[in-house]
Amino acid sequence: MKKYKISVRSISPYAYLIPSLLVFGLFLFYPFFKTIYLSLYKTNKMGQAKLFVGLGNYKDLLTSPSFYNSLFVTVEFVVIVVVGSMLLGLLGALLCNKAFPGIRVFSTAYALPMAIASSSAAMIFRIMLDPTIGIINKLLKLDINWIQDPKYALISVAVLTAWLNSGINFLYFSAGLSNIDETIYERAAVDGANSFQMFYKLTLPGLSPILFYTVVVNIIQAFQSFGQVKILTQGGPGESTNLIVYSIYRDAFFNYRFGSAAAQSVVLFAIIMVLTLIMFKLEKKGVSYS
Amino acid sequence: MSQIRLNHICKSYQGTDLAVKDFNLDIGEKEFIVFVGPSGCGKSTVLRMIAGLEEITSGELWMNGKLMNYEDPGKRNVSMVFQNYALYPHMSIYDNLAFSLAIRKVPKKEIKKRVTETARMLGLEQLLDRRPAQLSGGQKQRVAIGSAILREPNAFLMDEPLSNLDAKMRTQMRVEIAGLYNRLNTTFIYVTHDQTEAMTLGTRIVVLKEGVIQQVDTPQNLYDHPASRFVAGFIGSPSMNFVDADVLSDASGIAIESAGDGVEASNASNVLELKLNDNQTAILKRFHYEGQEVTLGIRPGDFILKKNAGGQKENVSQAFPVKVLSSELLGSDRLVYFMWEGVKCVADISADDEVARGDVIEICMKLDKIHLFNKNTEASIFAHGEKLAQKGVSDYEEV
Repeated sequence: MKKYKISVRSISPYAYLIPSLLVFGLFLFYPFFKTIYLSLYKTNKMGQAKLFVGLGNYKDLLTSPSFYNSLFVTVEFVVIVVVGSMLLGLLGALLCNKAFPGIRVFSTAYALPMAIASSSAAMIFRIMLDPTIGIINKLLKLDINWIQDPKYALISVAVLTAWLNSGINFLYFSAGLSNIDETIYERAAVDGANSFQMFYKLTLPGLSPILFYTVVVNIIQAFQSFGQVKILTQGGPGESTNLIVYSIYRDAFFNYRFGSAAAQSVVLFAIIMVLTLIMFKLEKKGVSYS
Repeated sequence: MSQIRLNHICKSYQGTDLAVKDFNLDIGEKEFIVFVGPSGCGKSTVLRMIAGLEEITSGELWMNGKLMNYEDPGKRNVSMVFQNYALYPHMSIYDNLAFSLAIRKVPKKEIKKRVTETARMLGLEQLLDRRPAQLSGGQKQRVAIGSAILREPNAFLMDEPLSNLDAKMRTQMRVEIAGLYNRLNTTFIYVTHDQTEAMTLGTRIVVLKEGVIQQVDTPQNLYDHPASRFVAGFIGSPSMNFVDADVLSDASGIAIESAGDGVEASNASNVLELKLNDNQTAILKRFHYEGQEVTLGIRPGDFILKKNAGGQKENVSQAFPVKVLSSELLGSDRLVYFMWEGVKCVADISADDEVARGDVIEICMKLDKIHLFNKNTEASIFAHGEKLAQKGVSDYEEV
């Protein structure tokens, strides 16, 4: 009897873990290991591993100019998206940090992109960016083929993504700003600080934990952007918007090169992991938790 | 040097009622002004208007002969200490102290010199590398005060600086602030709801109620000659007792209807008559109070037990019996509570007089110390009367 009780007690914690382990196992761990496994094989059109090639897929990648192009385009894209979405979110949050009539309307407007699916936003942008009937060209009095011109395609997709991601950043920054004690601004005002000094010396350091968190999340999110590329440019024109996630998709489901796609996935995973680790190292220096 | 003049200052929030009404005050050099009043009386608002943190709705604020209404807070050359310390949480104590100088681009050497000097003065040398979160409340407030004095401003504004501290720390910091005032010789404007702080620190006290100045005076005058029933009740602890009374028809004294409640009437007439001194009678007569109802105010310390009254040189009233509701021993003093005229009153007597709950004691009043208040205006008849008499006004309506 006693023995039975003890065994229930020792098992029960694991029993509680089973549901989440199942979900994670099915949708995260299994695909993850399967991807690593596939990246070591040549596959048939059904995606079944057929021929073990070891690191052959990786070697092919590292000698492929298309893959380097993908990496370069992705980095460019991530930089524009992260900087753009953080600036937009921060600006919105700063503007909405004061009480004024109609603040709820503005707050909702700034947070709204969060609620829009990337593909539907992309559909709307496709119309807005249309070279002949698009409102952007009409307003700016320009004649640019935003989506089909290799010079502008990446920027267009990146700006759209930045706007989409700015909603959640706005929420994070608003929460962060409301956590900063209002009286330190009053003391700073009496001490003679101007608003730039207040921003650099009080607001930014006060936001630094949240800034750090949003940078990490935004970078990961930007690396994984897919829907808007699929709808707007399909990686083109040429390969000018062939982001790595889109390239994986194209290799796997158009070219049926699952091995190569899996290898790219593993590389993407490695890049994001290394970046995150580096940022957590940097965090210890730059971020102040008070 | 610093002179601050507030001229008909009013403040209203979004067009609603005035939070501060027609505030007039001249603050001289090196004064320690204390704004005191119950919460919501507008004392902090006035301070924040002086600092420039609140807009002045109407009226003029002058500092050293310059109109300051529209100057930025940073240009008014005042420094402020806040109730919650308002230290910059992510800066070291050194940087907190140095902030106001650093943003003015004062040379680093000079900053270092002044920070070390101030830190030594306030005993903060060991803490300079720490963050505010690592400090106790008292230490934080010392840092806040340090960063305020570092700039050598024209005036220090302090907004309830001690109310977040525990009782012991509060007393200690109070003494330190008094010491600082003596050393720095600058104007202090200090907001508090604590009358002990007000009485001990201020050279002049401004009593506020609902945005209106009730009285501006020295602590001693405020205590001895409160201008109104409100001031009388607000200043002094335990606060003044108030009972209804009638002025006799010849103004030679006042009558109070009953003796202490719960005590069998010992004499036929239950009315207690108090004889007033000539000066008091003269004022009552001058302003036609004969036969009028007034409010009698008497401080707990101005009651005296009948058995101790014999040796008093002061003019003492006849004794009346009261039944003790409770008796609190506070070390050297004893507070005795009793009902009188349906009002709970308190007398502050010597601890040596052993009085217990339920006892019936004979108690007298020091007649020269009593206050009479107009029933309608609540103004102090004696204080107001003397002031008006000096001005040569003799109209009853004025009181």
